This record gives sequence, structure tokens and C-alpha cells, in this order.
Amino acid sequence: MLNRIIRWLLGYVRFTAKGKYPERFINLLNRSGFRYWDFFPENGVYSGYMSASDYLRAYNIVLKSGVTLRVKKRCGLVFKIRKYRHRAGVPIGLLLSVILITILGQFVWVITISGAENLSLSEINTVLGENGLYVGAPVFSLDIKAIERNTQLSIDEIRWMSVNMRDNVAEVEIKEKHIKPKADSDQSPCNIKAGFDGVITKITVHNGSAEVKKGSAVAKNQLLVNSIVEGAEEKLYYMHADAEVYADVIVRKSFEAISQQDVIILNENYSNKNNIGFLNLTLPMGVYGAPDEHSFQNTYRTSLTAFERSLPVGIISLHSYNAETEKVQYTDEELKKLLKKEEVLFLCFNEGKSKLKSRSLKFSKTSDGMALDAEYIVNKEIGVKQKIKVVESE
Amino acid sequence: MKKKKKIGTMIPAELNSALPIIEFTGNRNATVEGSLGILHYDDSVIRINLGKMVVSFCGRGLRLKCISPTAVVISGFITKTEFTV
Repeated sequence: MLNRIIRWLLGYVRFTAKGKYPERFINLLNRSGFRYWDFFPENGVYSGYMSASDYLRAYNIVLKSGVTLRVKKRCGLVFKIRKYRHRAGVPIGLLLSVILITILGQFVWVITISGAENLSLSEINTVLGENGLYVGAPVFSLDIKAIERNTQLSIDEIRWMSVNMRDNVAEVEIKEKHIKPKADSDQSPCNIKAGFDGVITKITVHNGSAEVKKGSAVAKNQLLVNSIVEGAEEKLYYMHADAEVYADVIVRKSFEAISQQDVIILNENYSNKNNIGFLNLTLPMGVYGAPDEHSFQNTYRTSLTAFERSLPVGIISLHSYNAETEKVQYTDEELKKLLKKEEVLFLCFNEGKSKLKSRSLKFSKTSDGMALDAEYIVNKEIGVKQKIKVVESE
Repeated sequence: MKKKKKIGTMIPAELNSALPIIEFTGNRNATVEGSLGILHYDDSVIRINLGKMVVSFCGRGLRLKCISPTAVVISGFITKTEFTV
């Protein structure tokens, strides 16, 4: 096999020898150390194979032996390349591709991060970039150990990480820390007071003595659970009160909407700006103006892939949607819809953990628009811890 | 007094002699060592010059499988071997 590969690289020819004394030709070839093989007679003509360089040297032997040589076939790399000797572009292209591959091989093409379940990929990428690992970073200058160590120091949530360079792809493997839930270590004496006015629906005391019971109406700041507990022999103990106190609370909220508003609306104008992304460089594909005052932009990156591997070349498209400020006159129905949306958002974000028991909405017209008065009865935790200071007097 | 043996006598006679060595594998292959050149070559007869003699291989589909300045490997169906001294 190796012999065949060497023959193919150096090039060889299939030749025929015809003449009176082919034996003399064989003997002369042997004595001169020519490389030939598979030399056999067939219908009075001898054919065989000889290396291309030896075939060129065989002129004197041919003269001496009186045979006529004919080349039947040329095989090997030398002859394949010779075909393209008049096409300068082919060898130049080959040379350029070799140079390009060699140069590009010196940089990081892609960074893949695995194992990040709760951590933000952009945050990891930023920290990696600060430590020298980014798309386009020279591979030879990477200090993998330092990158691993510094990244772990920068992001506390990382328990273990490893950076493996596979060709031009940096594979970052991360194991996150299992964060322990924070235990309430504060054991200083404290009472539990009501955070809102309401009617108690459920009270579960873990520590301390309850001052109210289920069904009691309480006012804001009223003592719910006392930290002072009477022990044996009428001794008083101060403790860290702990309890779950749920109450029905009335929540009121007003919303207002103006009928004539300045609204930013997307118009039909939009523009696409395409750039060539090469490693960490961005090269514009045209001359583009500055974005408008009110415009929304989305960026998409499309990378070329070969054999399921991303290449460091791609197109970065920047879609800009232009917007303009318009004065809009809302009707009453539209205003109601707007107010309802606002009210729902308030409920979601402010009373998300509470259980909604009743809800009443009242729309009223104002001088410049409409108002919504909302009233809810929600069941929620109202207990608020309040520390007490204990001073021992003589 | 003991006579010292000559070094020549310690080597087997076959290797020591100037005679050519011919080795057959059945009648399909023959290796000839000590060849001085090919005298005749076609697919039915191959004649090899061995200096003091000429050896002829007759048969069908004879080929020179491998040739070096001093050795020849013949393959094919050998039916007759003839020495001309």
C-alpha cells in the first residue's frame, strides 16, 4: 500500500516496448537500477509500468536495445497537477486557501457553553471575554488555567468549570453550585405586627404568644404575636416571634387615562443593514445612515456552517423598524380597555401572591379622560416582624 | 597437533559454491538467484543466463514477477525446466 502511494505521488507511466530484443532492454534496465514492474508479453508486445523519472532516463537504453517505447497511460499526482499548469488561478487559489486555513486556525471560532441552567449565558460570555476568551481570540495566547480560575472567581455560582479547545471551538463546561436556602439566623427578640388593616382568617404561631385569633379585625401596626412569654414562676422570656398570619384585606387603587395621548407607533418604513461578521469584526456591506430617533432594532446573526460546525464567517443583519409619535384620540371604550389592562397589570405585579376574593371596578369620566376605581378583597399574609429592644435595669 | 578447520568448510556447501540457487513453489513459482540476465522472455519460455549454464522454464502464462540484477522471480504454470551447460 505504501509502495503504491509513493508511486502515485511520484508519478508513473504504463508503457509498451516493441522491438527485436526486449530481453536486452530488460537486462539493461536491471543493470542501471530502473524501477519498473508488471513487465509481461502480450500478443508480441511487452507492456509494463515505470516511474516517470526513470522513463525520462531510459532514452539511452532504448537506443542500445533497439526497442520502441510508447506511453499508454500517465498516472500519479505529478500528471494530475500538470493539467492545471496553464491555469494560474488554481495553484494561487490552493495556496491562498492553505494560507487562509493556517491563519484562521490560529483563532477561536466558536464558544459553546454547556451546563449553565440558571446562569445567564451572556454574563458568562462577558466574563470569559474579560478574561481573554472571545470569538476571534488568538488560540496560542489563551491561558486556559487562568481563564478557568478567574471566571470561577468572578461568578460565585460556578462550582466547577473547564475550558476545552477542540480545534477552533472552545467548549466551556460548567457545573453550577447548589445554593442552600438562607436560614433565618436572626434570633433576636421581635414581635409580629399587622402590615395592613383586615380580618384574620388564619393564624399559625410557631414562636411567641398570639394576641389575636381567627375572625379578629385588626388595624395596621396592631400587635399580632407577642414575643414576651410567661414561663414558670411568673418569669418573662423574650423570644423571636414567628407566625403565619393571613387576613382578608381591602385594597383600593385608582387608575387614570387621558383621552388624547402621544403614542409611538411603528410605521411602514423599515431598513435592513447587513454586515459581514468575521471572527469578532463587523464589516459593513454598504453605506448606512444613522438610525431614526424612534426606531426599534433587532439583530440576527447567521453563521456559515460546514460539516455541522459553525465557521467564523457570517452575516449580521440589523433590522430597524422606524416609529413616529402620533396624537391619538381614544374613545371611551378604548379608554376602558386601556384602564383594564393597567388594572390587570397592577394585580399581577402587586398582589400576585395574594388570593383574590372579590373585585369591583368603577369607571368614571374625568375632565380630560377616564378614571377607574378598583376595590379588591384579597387574602394575604399581613404579619410584619418588628424588633424590640430589651434593656436590663438593676 | 590438531588441524585447524578452514572457515570455508563450516558454511554449507550449497551456499559456499558459486552455483546458482533455484527454488520452486510447486510448479507455479520459481526463484532464481545468481542470474546474469534474461536471454529470452515470452509467455511460454523464459531463458535465464546463469553464467556456467542457461536455465529454461517452459510453460503457460509465464511472467517475470520481480527482477533484480541478481535474482528473478518467475510466476505462471511451469511445465518443464531445462538446463543447458
